[in-house]
Amino acid sequence: MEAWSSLNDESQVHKGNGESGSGINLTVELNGIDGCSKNRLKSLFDQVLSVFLSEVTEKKCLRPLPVMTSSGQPLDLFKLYWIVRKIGGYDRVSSKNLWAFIAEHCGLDVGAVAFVKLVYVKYLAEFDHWLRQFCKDGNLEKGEGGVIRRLDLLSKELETRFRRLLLRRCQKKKDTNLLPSKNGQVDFEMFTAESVNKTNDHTTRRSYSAENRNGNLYNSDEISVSKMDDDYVFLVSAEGIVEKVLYKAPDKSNNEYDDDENFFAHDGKNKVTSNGEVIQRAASAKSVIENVFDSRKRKRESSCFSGMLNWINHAAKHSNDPEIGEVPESSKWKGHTSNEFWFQVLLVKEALLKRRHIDTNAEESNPQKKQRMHPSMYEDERLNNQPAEKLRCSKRIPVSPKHAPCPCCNSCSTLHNKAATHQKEEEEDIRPDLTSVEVSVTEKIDDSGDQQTHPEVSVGPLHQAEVPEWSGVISESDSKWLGTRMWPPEVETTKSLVELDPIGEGRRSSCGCRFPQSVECIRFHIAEKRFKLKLELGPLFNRWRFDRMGEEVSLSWTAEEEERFKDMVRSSAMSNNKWKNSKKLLPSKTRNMLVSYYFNVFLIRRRSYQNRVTPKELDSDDDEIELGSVGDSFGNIAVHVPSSRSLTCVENKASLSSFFTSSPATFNPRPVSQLMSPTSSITEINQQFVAPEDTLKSNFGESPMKKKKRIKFSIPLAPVNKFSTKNLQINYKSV
Amino acid sequence: MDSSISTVEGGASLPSTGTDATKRRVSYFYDPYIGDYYYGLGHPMKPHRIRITQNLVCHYNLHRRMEITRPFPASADDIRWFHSPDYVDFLSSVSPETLYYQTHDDHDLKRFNLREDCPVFDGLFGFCQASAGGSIGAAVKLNRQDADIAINWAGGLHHAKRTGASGFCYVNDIVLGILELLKVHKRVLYIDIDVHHGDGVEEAFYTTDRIMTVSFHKFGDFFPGTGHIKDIGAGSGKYYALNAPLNDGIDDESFRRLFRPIIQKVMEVYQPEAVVLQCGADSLSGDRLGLFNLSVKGHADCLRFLRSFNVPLMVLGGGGYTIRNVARCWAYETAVAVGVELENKLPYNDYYEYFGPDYTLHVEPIPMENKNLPRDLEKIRNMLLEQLSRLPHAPSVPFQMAPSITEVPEEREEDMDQRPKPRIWIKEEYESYC
Repeated sequence: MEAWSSLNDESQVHKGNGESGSGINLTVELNGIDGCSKNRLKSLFDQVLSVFLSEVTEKKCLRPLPVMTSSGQPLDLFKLYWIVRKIGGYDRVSSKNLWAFIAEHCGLDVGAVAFVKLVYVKYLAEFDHWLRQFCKDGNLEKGEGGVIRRLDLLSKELETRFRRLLLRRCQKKKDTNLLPSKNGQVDFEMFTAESVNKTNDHTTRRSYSAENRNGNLYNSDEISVSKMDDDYVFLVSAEGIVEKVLYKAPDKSNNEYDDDENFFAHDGKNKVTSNGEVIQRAASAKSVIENVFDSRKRKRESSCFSGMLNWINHAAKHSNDPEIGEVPESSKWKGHTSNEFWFQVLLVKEALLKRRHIDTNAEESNPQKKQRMHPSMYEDERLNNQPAEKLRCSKRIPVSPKHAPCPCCNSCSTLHNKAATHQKEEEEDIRPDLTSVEVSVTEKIDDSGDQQTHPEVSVGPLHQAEVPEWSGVISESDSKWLGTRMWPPEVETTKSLVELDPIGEGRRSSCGCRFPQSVECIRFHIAEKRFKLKLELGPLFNRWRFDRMGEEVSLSWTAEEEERFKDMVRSSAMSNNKWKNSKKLLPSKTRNMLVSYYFNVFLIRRRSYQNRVTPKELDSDDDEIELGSVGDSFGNIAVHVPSSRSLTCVENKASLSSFFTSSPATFNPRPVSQLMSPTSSITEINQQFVAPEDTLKSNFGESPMKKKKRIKFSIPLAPVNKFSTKNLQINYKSV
Repeated sequence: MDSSISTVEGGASLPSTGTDATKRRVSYFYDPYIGDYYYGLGHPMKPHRIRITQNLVCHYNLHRRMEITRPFPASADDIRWFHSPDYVDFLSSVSPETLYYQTHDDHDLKRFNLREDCPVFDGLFGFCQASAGGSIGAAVKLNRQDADIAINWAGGLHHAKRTGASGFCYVNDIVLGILELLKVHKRVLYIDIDVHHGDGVEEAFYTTDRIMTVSFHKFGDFFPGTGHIKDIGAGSGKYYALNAPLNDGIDDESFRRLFRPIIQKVMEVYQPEAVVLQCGADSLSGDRLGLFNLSVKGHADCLRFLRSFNVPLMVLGGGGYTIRNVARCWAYETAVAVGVELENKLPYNDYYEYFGPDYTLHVEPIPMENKNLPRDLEKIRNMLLEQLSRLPHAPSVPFQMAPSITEVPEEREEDMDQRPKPRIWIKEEYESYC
């Protein structure tokens, strides 16, 4: 817990600084390089690094701290890391042969090149990788130990600070370039002032992430090694990135527009989507960005982007200045042109926001693979009693970050609660993953959101099948693929014995049953039909496992087991895990048996009930209705109670489900002849079956509920159920 | 066959196709254990639906018009034909138990995407083997001309990628089946009417002109995100991938007006020697995941239309998450394949109660807004037709190299069951070009 507590301390300190100490910071900042914040950053860095080294790499070997140089001085790892990172990372430093330069900057002589490099590799390379990776993933891996978690929190903050510092510096520089009359103070104030408006946040966040994401973009050729002026490097790179991101957008979207000319009528700034909606805002946002693009071509200084930034600065500094004017309500935005800064800011904000959403959304960066087909299904289904429609959308819709706290923020809420407000907001907002730079901004702007974001089809040996050229030579296929022919049977035996129903025939519209459409009636007809099929298919009936289809499956279950199963489903419906106790409750049942019972018996009974009691709800509900509604009281009362009480006895013990079974357990030796003559046809059997029901006629009421309960009483009707298939078959053959 | 949708404008206009009233020899693949596989609690994909379908098919007595085969399970080696070896190794050895005892790497699970949508469940590999074995078997049946139509409702798992699972699909039986078909057929057409884009198949054949993929799917904020109308193929496969991106609520009539002309044109221009139709039933109205509004008849109309071309036809399953409707649809399509019209009142069957409260084959469509405006559909159609017009007629057919199979003498024609073989048609085509 050491790291944890020190982290808290740390953030408390920051809180203090953030609120009251800004004046001090300011001065320090003005005097050159961020002394105070750098110290803070350094101490944080040291903490994280030491925890990282001791915990994460513990399996490998111990790395003692501090690192001593040959002259006996401790080496400033923070500085080393800082410089390397600024240059663009290990690879870049190596490729540009800058280790000597780095050694020099760390206060060592040129001869210590190898040493510096070694130290970096041993101490910092993995750390750097981890830090970036961690920020990219953004997520705490479940199940990892508390240490890692604490480390994550720390490093999160570290990373955030890194970025803020970097940005602050480049922003400052930038501003001094763009606005010679202003000094860096404005900038710093802009970032520390409580009154910073959200737009600023988003813009700056954008720059943060741009910087962070693009260690590689430091490579931009204009930066020569000789210009190792730190600030300049950062300025150029960050600036370049921001602009690059923005340029990319119009480039790409222009193509898109051209390509789609046939598909989308587009007229001026208005883009007609396939829905026919005019996405005006998107178009104007695009035009803003195009403006940026164009103006950069003309002259960077005159770009409206810088104008806008100036405006932001100004607004941030003098939030009460009447010159800034008021930002109208969103409903009135459409009337404004993109010439107004506030409007541009909003558009940029929107663009950046959307972009960020998509990025955080597509956490795994490969939407094609990682996008889930059915996101809702692993969520808390018990509570999820929505209509099916709501489950249908396969892709999560991005939600506003205000309402959707990122996972890291959840997990480190303590930390954030202690932080100053603006700080918190920034940290929340900085979600550094942003791996897919190539997705353009304007793509996200378009509200229609469909045509723009589609991933490219991957091409390469890892993706395509190997399709040989057509040679004209036909290669033989293994005859194993012909499988086992099951139908038609080799020897036709049954046809002559059974009168076959025509192909494609449905059921007859009426039947001789006393109470058509009652559970009894239907069960009887199913058994009858089943029997016919069995006669026709012969042994195939079992080989196709028709004997394991439908309610027949319940025959191998005792009433008690069935009751337990229902209890289990009911109770685990609440707890999100249907069969968690199956081993305990139903030790004799394998998982397969449970699944089979569920689909073949449980669901049928439930449906049987629903069809009669709540038929209107069926069409809108999906097959998993029990997962949705069983948890609530309605589900339990309306569905479970009656079905479990009245149906159980019927289905399990009564009558026809066991009628045609050849299971010896249900075989009753009573001769068939007691009930029917050897010449009886199926219809006659039918009538005989129904006959006893007559005697119970007076017991039946109107409501299907009642009918079902009656079924209980109708159990004795079944002398019939004592038949066995065997007897019947014999009977038929003797005809 | 007298159906309400029997007006077949297209098929009959092609040379040497028979009338649609002729019988087809139908081969049907069914693994009796397929219904026992279970993806897990609350997972919308339920192989049980195939068992219900089988039950319905048999209670409609459709089996009498078919040959029904239990597929030979595809081995790991067979599956490696398309999938990467490491993925197949993993897939064939992983199980909930091995996960429990952590003999498998979490990293690999991630790498192969075996989580969330694609959980590791009991018997996973067996399921894949049955599915793939059925589709390869179907292809072999067609290759040997043992059947005109081969059906495998356990197949059609079109999202699976070469190196990983996706969207409930682990092994891409379609790709394997098509590879098998390509042993004998120069060009194979793949058509996908699942509500989701057939990305796995498209990707697998993105760079070849020996397979043309055509997918009609919901596009925009929907899994898997691919299937833009501008994705047309690459390399020598350029123009050989067609995508019709659709919006919510498309109905029978709109779908038909898009499907028929495009497929008609594809058949004319591409002249496939075999067709694979993925009949994902999640494009049906009221599907748990889908957003289309097709009726069973409208869905089956695609099959009816393709059947009329008299080209060897493989019919596969796919998505479909309101299982009672899936069973309705596939049973009906089985009937279309064998050329029988089914009565609307369902016969009594073991899953009768699933079909309540109406107990009918066809259900009333759900009132739902069709967000596909006629002009959008027309644009899509015109764009796709335009893309098709860029195709050279019948690629991958070096005319000078008539393959040996075309020289096999024609079998006797008197039998209604014997349809003219497509190779004759190619030959005629060849002659007419000379």
